Amino acid sequence: MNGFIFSLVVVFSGMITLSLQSVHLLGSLLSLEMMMLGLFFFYSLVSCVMTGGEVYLGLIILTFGVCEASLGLALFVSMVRSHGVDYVTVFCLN
Amino acid sequence: MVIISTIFSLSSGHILGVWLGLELNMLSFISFSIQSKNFNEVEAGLKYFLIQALGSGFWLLGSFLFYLSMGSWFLFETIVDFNNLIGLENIFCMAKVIMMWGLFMKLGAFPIYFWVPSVMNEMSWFSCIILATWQKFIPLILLSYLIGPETFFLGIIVSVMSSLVGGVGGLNQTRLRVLMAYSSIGHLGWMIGLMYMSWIGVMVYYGVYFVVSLSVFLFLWLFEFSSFMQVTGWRMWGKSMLILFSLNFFSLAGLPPFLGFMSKWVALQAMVNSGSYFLGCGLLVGALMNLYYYTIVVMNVSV
Repeated sequence: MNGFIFSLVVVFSGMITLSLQSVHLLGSLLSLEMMMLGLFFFYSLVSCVMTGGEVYLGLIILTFGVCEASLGLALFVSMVRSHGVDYVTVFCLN
Repeated sequence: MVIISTIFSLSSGHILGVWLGLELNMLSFISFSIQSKNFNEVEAGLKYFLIQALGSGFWLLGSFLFYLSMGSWFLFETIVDFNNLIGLENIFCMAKVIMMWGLFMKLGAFPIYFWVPSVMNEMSWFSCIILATWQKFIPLILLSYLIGPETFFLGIIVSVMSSLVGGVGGLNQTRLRVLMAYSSIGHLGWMIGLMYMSWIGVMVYYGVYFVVSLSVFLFLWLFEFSSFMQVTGWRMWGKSMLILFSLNFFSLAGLPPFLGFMSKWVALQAMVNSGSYFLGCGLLVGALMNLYYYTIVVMNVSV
């Protein structure tokens, strides 16, 4: 049970830091990654508890989390190349 | 790729398959919306990416909780029997709400609507078309699987508020892309509210919205207009083009002789039949404000 609560705390803190991140874009990508890792952790606990839980599905989750992260990094690089900085504050928000 | 991932996501019964489809959809949409090396498109793609990644994270968390409470991965083959769920109803409802929250985020409905105008403002018209029509398809269908009486209140609030936001946000807008983004938020509110009443109504509404907004967007794309101050450009079109353009806008607003009216009629009929007058009134107020700014566009074009 402690593991469940711990992984949920990881997931929610990742989401909250992603939402409140207002300086560096790299920070928001990192918190996204933290959220995905927390979800993976949560899934592995769930698949241990449930009967008939498939452990290999965790690999799919990890793979797609990495895909997401690499897409985020690609966007990050192209944004740094075009804007020069990685601040979230340069975004136009309307 | 966008089309294939949509089909993949909708044809898989497994929740993780649905999630994979959502992720693939996001990846492919971003990669084709950043075709040109435009300064702004990267920014739009990045904003879209952050919101969509957060939304699919919510969906994933909700699906794990769903699995934990139901012991099954299949959204629509699982019969919800609350007698078997003693002690787990809370987790089940929480899972549903979290999944719906992720879908609202992906759709751009009320609480997290602000990314839609800012993303659409910086994209090309073609990406705007896809974002406003095709990208809504998966989350809407998935949302309709999750709809139930226990989430009625949440859905009604989200739908009425996104209709109102779609009305108010576009009122003082001079950029056409932002205006179209707010109008898509307003129509989204109609679709979400209608989902609780009738499934066929949603399909009709979505189909009509798809066709009409496709034609409006194609007009705008063809002539590459970004704000309606470009009066000299409009003059070159000729009378018949202008009339067609205005009729498209009126159809999107839902004035009676046009196609757009039919969908609103179906929606209101379903709402009156099920007795949810509050929902209908809220949606109508939003649609009225939509009509107001469409009329401003048409007047700027034709006068």
